[in-house]
Amino acid sequence: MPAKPAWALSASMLLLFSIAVFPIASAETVDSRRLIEAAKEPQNWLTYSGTYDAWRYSPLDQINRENVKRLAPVWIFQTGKVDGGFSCTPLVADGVMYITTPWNRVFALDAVTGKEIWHYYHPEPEDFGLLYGPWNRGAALGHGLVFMGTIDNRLVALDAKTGDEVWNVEIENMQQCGCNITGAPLVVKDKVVVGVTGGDSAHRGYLNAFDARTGRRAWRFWTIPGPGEKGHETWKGDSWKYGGGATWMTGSYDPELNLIYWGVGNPAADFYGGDRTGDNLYTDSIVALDADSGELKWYYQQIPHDVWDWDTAYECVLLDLPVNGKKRKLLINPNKGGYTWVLDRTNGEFIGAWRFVENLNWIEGIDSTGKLLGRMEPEVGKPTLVCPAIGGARSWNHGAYSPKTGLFYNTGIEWCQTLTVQKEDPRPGETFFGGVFELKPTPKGEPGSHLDAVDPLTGEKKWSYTSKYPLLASAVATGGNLVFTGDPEGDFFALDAETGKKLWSFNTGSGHRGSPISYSVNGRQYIAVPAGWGSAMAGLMPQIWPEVEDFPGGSALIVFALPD
Amino acid sequence: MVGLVGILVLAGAPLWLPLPQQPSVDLNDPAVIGAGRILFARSCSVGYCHGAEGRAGGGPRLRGKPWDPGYLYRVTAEGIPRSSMPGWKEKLSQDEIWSVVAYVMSLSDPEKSSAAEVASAAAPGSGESAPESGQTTGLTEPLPEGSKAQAGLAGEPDKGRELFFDAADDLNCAQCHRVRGMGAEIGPDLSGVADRPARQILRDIVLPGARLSSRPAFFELTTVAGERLMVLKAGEQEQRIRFYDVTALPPVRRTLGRDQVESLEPQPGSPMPHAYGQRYTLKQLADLVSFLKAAEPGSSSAVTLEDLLGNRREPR
Repeated sequence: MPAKPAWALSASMLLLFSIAVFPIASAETVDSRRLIEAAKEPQNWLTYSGTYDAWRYSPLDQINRENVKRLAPVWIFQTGKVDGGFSCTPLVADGVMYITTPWNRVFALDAVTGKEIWHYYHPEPEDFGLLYGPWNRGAALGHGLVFMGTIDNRLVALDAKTGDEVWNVEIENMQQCGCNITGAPLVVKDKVVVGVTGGDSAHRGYLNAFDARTGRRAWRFWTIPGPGEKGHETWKGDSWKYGGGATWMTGSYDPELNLIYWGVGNPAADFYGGDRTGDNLYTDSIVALDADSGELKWYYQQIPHDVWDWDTAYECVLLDLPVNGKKRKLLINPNKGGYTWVLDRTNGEFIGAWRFVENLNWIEGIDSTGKLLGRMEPEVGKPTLVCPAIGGARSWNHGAYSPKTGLFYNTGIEWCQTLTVQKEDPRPGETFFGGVFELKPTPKGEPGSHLDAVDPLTGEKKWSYTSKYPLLASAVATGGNLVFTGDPEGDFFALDAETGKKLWSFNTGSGHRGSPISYSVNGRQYIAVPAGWGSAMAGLMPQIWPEVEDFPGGSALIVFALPD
Repeated sequence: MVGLVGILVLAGAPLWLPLPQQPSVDLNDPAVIGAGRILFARSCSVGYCHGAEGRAGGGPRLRGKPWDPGYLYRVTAEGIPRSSMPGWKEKLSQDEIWSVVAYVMSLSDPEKSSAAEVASAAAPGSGESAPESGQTTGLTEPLPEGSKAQAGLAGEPDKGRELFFDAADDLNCAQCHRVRGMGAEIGPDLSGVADRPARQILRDIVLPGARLSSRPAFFELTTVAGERLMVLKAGEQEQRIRFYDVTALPPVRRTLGRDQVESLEPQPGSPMPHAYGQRYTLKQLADLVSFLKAAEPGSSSAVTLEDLLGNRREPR
């Protein structure tokens, strides 16, 4: 390894630098055109969800239902960072894979051999102490750079060829805001958009866009309107200053409409709403923002005045499907509370909402206009059974959509909790839950989980795969008519996309909390999966399943292919 | 504060740990356990941390485990470096930390725990948030001098703190400065200014270039591509230069190859924006100075306009 001269300044300014150990073949830079047309490059996985529409679909079909039983590991990369779980989505561009790990390590790997090209180790914050992290869900590519949000609330841009830091900007002091970045950024044209956590902190949320080349902030959208802005009246008193509204996941982009869609999380305090009476805009809303200016074009609030912590933070799947015979531009968004919302993505019009778990008692239903019916408001101080549990009817791990089957593959979790709401005053930057909870099995039986293949418009179930433990890994659907995902016991498996039949399985030695992808190099198709048990949900599960406390952690990227 | 040094054996590895003072409260007193239970519910069981009654959340399960009280005190007070466990010594008093320890100890033994629950259930205000520790200062405290009693003339440290960190203000102080461990490290750390005269702090805010003790590494950088940036040097290597771009705030740390740099011209004066005299009202300036003079959170440091502007020599 070539030694590099130290930066000639004080120790506090010295930072870890990546060390290039292996030259990479020159490839065409990933620019905004390639990102927009990512579907034309099935060999690559250029953005967090593969494509801007969040399908998590790879058209590759070399691995199919007939031959998948011969799938075998071809290389394994150990990241060395086990704590927190390995929850990233790998990116692949022109034979190079980019992964991120807990504590913000980034590795560029040869996608054929797994050999390291470079690594970047972000300086680990000594006084971390935040409940969000240390995990990271992935990087973004564009303009010759690799972008990563960090657990100390920075956005860093690295040279894609060397891993050297090009720019680094602090979003806000992480202790002051009680927020940081665990989600993957989204590169849209000349900007990098990145959200923050902080929905369970006394903090006012926002979404930021930075100039991809210089790191200068281009725009900021406050998820809670300030004084004088429309929507501010939906917050009582000073509650808007501490109202949460995190943007902790990754949004979608429609290049034709030039709109970015981003889910906004729950209001804070999560469970005690007495000091924030009102609808609490734009928490629990999908916001559609002009990609160039960050200006709000429309919003749809799923849950006015949420008191259950059902953030609307998950993926916005963009589909063009016929509704009553007329093709419409739609946005499908599964919510933590157990319903999936279907909206018109040109204007935010409510099309429908369908339920994806059995155990759900916080509302009785949703009417044809989108109004929540029969809300169950937990009383202060009184332990109340709420289903699903805080981990959600689904966690953040993403579903997949296959245009070949027309089905959406999404997980559901059957579990409940006893929630005790407590009045709480905000302390800036500190946790702000307004209650405590304890996970419980469902009243009518065993807790458990399922991966369902459904009609994305109606939720009508084609098949369902059941699992003992909550399924907390994302799915990927492929052109070989397969759906891949993993479970907490370490099994990584392939299901027939049309029938749900399990066709192949491989135990990776640690549970799954990340997002598998598929890619190809020189005509050979690969399936890559981050394996490594951990995360907040993994920490909560022992309340129902005590044995889960002893499940081994891990952090290995495992890549499969058919034998030569 | 820290007395002896002892050896504890944790997870099989012996660790040298400073032992805190003896518990300042009776760890078996049901009232102490009850108080700890309320603090625990508010601060430790939240969300993804240790879970209701220590049944585990994102953080480890605390219930039903044999704990050493000294270890619990230390970890609660200091936190665990490079982990999600924060230190609480700035937020909770010593007695409060000990009461949390008492509560966690009680969870090792279900009978004691239920006793504590009974005790706290009987206490008034249970289920409500616990009273704030360390009342804040400012106008809420009795003010010793007549001039300070005049409403509006005294700075309020809490309001100064809000201004210092105000995320809605792109020119907030914390973009560049750090105070007591929070904020950026681009400009000088301001933790040490607490014992300076109020007038001097005010002058440094509104006339940042007036009292430069050393020339800051402040330059105008022109790139080969023709881009002009106002920068603070942050490091150099043979091939590369690293700097903070402060042309627009928030500052961005950038790294450029030397071959991309056309010129680097030293700039006179301070890189700090000169607009604070106009951006803040006198009252806000008094708030900021009061915040900066607060040696620790909650200490009384209210600064009056006379402290800021008068000729009277103030005590340090």
